[in-house]
Amino acid sequence: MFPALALFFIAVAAADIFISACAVRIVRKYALPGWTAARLVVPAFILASLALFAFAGYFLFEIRSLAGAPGGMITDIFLR
Amino acid sequence: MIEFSADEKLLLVVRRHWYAYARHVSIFAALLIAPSAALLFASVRFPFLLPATPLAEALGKFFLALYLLTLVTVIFVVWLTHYLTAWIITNRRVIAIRQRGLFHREVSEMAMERIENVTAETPGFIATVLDFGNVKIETAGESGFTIATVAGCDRARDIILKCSQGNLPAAEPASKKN
Repeated sequence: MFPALALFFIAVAAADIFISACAVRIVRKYALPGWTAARLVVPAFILASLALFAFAGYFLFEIRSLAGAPGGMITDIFLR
Repeated sequence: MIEFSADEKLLLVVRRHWYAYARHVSIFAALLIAPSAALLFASVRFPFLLPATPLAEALGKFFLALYLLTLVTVIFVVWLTHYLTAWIITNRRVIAIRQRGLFHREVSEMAMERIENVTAETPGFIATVLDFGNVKIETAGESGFTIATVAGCDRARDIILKCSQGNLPAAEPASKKN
């Protein structure tokens, strides 16, 4: 289960990083100097994305450790 | 990046009224709340559907984090398209910028001396109450353009009209530039 989830995580993260980097670059390139909202929203977006990315990574490794424990197989979830 | 000449003064930056974004905001609010609401509903009405093992919890949190990560990125891209869509009015021209998507941007401009008529239209009850409308700019012999769903359309029309007639109003204070 872990390799499949890790691959899924990497695919989602790669797509997200690509789109986020493009979006941040476009905002920085086209916002006029007096447009202050971008200065607040871009760092907030980056911080939120990093936090969610870290959470997802943390839970991915938690799944890895739990999957090795007794009752930790994916099928055990539905065999209570 | 828009370049301004030395004798060009930025008078007003016009953006769409928040009412134009209300549909997007309500959709994203629903999408943010949906996972929590669905879990709460399932835990009350169908508790047997929610396996209570630590692995299931970790799986749920993992997919929830990825869902929120994707949603935050989509919200940012939608905000970007709204934020970068603007009409910049200077003493020499009107610049219309339309950010239609992440990789689709249109910039057009119209010189003040070619503007013949400016119409501000407030279409309906909601537009009247919330003070927004459409500004139509017309030129001789060419199709003009429409600035749709803008806040304070009458003010924008007045400034464009004065500029096109050679009566330059005072430059906007920095707080109006957003």
